[in-house]
Amino acid sequence: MKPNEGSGTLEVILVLLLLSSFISGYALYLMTSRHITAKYLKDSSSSNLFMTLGEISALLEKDKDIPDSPTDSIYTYTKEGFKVEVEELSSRINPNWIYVHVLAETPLSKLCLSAEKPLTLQQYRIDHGFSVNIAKHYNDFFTKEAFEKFLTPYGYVNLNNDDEFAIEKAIIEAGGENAFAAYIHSIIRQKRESRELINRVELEQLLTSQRKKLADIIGIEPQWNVNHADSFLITSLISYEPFNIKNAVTVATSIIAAREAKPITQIQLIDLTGLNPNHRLFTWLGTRSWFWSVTISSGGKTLHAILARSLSQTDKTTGFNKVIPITWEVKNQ
Amino acid sequence: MIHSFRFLNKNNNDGFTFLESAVASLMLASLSLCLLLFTSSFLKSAESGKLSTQNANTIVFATETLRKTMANIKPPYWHGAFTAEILETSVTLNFTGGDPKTITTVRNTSSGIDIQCGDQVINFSNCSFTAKPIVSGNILVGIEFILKLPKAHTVQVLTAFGSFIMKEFYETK
Repeated sequence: MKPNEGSGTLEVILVLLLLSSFISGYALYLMTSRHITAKYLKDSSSSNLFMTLGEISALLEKDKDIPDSPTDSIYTYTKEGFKVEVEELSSRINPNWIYVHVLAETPLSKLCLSAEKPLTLQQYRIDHGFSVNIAKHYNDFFTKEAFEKFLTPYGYVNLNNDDEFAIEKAIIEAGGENAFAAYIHSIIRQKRESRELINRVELEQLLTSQRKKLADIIGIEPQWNVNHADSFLITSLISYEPFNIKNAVTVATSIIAAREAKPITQIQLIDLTGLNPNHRLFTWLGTRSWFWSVTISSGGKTLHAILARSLSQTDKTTGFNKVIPITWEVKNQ
Repeated sequence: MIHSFRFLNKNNNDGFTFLESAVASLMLASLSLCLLLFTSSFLKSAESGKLSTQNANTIVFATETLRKTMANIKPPYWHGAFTAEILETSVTLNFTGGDPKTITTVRNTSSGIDIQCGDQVINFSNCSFTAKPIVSGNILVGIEFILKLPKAHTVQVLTAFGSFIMKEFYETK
């Protein structure tokens, strides 16, 4: 029998070493896996971004008599560790329900791909409905520049100045009854023919039976804020012949000059135009904004949201129209 | 002592005594016993660890999928035809990707959780869920899922839709 020279001990040590490295590796895998899970669950809440969005929403809620303007502090909002960008979205043409004659009979027609496009838009909307993705849905109607600068899918339906066929369809999409939608269509036609406007009292009466379904979508509030709208939109609108505004260019120039100096109030807007307060122009031009795009970046994440000032819901304490998010998306940078 | 370490002497060719062999055997036996106990305990821990890891993987992927699925529910702000059927063990929604006709369902099945968007189905095995609506200011903004995993592990997953309709809406069926 040959003597044992310790190889058995070495083998045991080797086995133990192998086992210990195997165990260490497995333990490391488990720890990493758990760490990733915990980190994932923690990170995905993105609560700080949403908290900041809530702060911005609260700042946008204000008295309806105070005009919204590009000089508002919300557009230069700063917060340590956050990058915030706010853009007004509603003072543009909403191709989903724009009155096609304003588009066809003013310089706004330059935004269309051809002269006949505005009049075919009406039938297209009846056949194909509306979309939030306007660049795709109305690709055959408008120029690239129009989509970038002058169009928006965000704006409420206005009974006094939007297309009556679009209004009828919008009422049905919003959940209103077909017969009610057809009735509203006929009322709008009558009002246009008699050159009258629907006032607030009439609006309340009209919506009574369908108020719950429609009051947050349909109203008579002007969608373009004179302090925000592009000067091309304002000048073009004022030149619309049926408005019968004398010295349209001078009126437009004085409005644009005045808003450069300081935000225009509704009373100042009426004074500047020299028009009757019930003039149809003021169903288009007002001093309030309704939709905003908000982008908040922090900690490697970006929250993009669209905020809307509600037409009918008000804060119980302040009485101001509520500003609420209607879309949001969080992305890793 | 010199006798005990006899094997260190290179000139010694006499082999081991019975006592030396017995002591070595005893040492090896005790080492083997320790190793056996350790291995047994390790295998138990490994099994438990494997379960935790599987749970962790399910949590990560199910959470990610549920959040992405719900973020793809995008009714336009003016639309009233948004329907949400939120039962405790199944959820059915329309407006998947903004299309009113494309339906998303999340439901418990015998093989786990099925998440179906249009024709596409994703299954998460060995788990189930309960669901309830998340309502903010009377507007339905998303769904809270409680994922139930093996060994009674539960995880809360808060999900939000990609967009919300403007009118006050909250109705479960």
